[in-house]
Amino acid sequence: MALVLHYGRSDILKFTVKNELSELEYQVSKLNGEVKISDVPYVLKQLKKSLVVISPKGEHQINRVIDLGNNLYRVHLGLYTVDVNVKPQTLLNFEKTDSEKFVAAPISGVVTEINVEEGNLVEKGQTILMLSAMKMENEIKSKVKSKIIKIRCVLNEQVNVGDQLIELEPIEDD
Amino acid sequence: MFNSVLIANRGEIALRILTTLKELNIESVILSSPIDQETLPVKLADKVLVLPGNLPSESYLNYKYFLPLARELGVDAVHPGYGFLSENSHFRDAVGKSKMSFVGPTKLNMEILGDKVKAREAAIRSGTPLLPGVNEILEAEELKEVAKNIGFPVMIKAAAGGGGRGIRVVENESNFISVCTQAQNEAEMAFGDRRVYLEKFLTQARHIEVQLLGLNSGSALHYGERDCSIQRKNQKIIEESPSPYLTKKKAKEIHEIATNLAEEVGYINAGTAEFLSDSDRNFYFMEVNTRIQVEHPVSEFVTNSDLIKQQLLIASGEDPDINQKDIKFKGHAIEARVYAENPYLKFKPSPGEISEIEHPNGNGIRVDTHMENGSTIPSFYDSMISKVISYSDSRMSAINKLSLALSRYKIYGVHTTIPIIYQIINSEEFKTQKYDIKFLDSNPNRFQIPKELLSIADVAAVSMADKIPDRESKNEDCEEDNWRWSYIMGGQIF
Repeated sequence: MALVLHYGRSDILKFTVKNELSELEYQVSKLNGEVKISDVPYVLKQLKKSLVVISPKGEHQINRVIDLGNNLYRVHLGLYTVDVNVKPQTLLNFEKTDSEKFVAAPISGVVTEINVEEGNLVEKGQTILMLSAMKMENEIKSKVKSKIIKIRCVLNEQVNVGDQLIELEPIEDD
Repeated sequence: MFNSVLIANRGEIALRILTTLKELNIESVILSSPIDQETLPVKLADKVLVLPGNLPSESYLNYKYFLPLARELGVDAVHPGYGFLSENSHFRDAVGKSKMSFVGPTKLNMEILGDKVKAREAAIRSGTPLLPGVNEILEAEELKEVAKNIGFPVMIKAAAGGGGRGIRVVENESNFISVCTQAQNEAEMAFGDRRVYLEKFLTQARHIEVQLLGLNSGSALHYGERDCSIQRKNQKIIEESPSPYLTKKKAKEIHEIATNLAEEVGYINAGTAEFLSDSDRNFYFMEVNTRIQVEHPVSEFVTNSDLIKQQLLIASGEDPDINQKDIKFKGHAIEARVYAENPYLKFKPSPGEISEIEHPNGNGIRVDTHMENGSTIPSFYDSMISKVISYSDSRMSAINKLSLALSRYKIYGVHTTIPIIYQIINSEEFKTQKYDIKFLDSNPNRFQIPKELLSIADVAAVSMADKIPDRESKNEDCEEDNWRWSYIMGGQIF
């Protein structure tokens, strides 16, 4: 609870931001309603139902921001839709790097093939399972050489994006 | 004419068929998987047949389940729409054996044209120009040998296919077998038939197709051509009629080739002959789709007709009272397919709930859709949200009209193809005919979100992350700082 008090009283907030369309993850700070990205200040204003972002270059209306859970936000602005991952920094310190310990469903779909069994070793890039979404087959591959710890899905199961399908343990290569 | 028609489909095409049934005062009976029960066509239909599961095999493909029930309800004809069972000759046969009419071609038509190899043979008989390829079904190893003889790149296609599924282009022999196996698996998934064949892949081509209507009398009418050259992953996203690529003379040539082929096989009801056209405007036959197609509205606009109505008439044995010269062509129509996909992330599907939707409208704007506020896009089926079609007297004004319609279109909750279609139709390439069917696939970075908007989106997302506790609340003035962090910490960590 010490952390809660410390950050809760502060008016400087730090976030780690990763836009799905850019390679880089970066940090932003928010001070009294102003967000700075590489020293460029952006100001947010709430106008009736929508949000307006004012940058030095102009004003942009934000149509909707939808909280998808797991720190993911879907932003509808003008013609476009962009997904952004935003983590408050205090949260980051506590979070484990899940992506190497679990195979998560990249999209919602149906599990059509499970190619591994618990205890198996898989190489980097090996296809672990197949997910069918919108009638297209999607290969789900191992990111690193790993040992399969637990299979958390069954054949023909409907799974949602982000669901942890397989639990695995990365193996260091010599 | 029929008294009661079963719509053996879902989504926008189910609603499209239902609209004509209502107009003709024919009873509409519709199928519904459990997840589709709140969709618009199901709510509007006179009778509903609820299916036992959501998977296609348990629902819209499960004809052994629904045909006897439809018969008991007094259905006298079945309209299959597109996709699902529409090109399945076993289904067509089962409909006939259940003493119902099938709104589509004959079983023989489907067996010949639905099979890509037999279709090639029919094309040869009617003098239709073809690309080099195989005229028989072979296994992966044998196909590899054929591919080496023809020369790469080659295209592997599902023999029972259509709609771009089960199609793979292979650039060289090294990965031929694995790609061929993938195509076979996808064909099995989509059509329940894993046979594939191959033909030479034309690297620069336009997709030109002819809308056909075969009459019971044996003659075939055409409703002009459609140009569907803007595609992603071999699936069309923009279609127009007439084709801006063809002169009137070349258009007339392809209409004749297509009607000759239809008459050669004694084709009855609506169908589409698809061709590729190279840079010299030579035509090469691809396939005949033995069903109504997604993009039929552009042909309906330029000929001022209702193709579903003509389908029903022909299926009931009454040929429409028209000759080719009665089909008059006027103006230009363009269709944009709105899919729930992220066009800037390799068109990755974006299923989920549409929290809000507001369709454009106006003179010469047609929106074919079943989507409403709160509708979901289930991952079991196709991810199409709607089709927006604009109609005007020239191509340029149809482009302008479609641009406005797309910019007015509000869809929140999922990604859509709207922004990229807007960018494409307003691009120099589209306006000046500098594109082919590989335009999007070979230039994946041609259309992007303006960079400065990415930072704006980041700022908006940060503002939301900062307001976690009151995201559902309308109160904008609440003192958030003191409890915001305790919520985050309390909710997710401690």
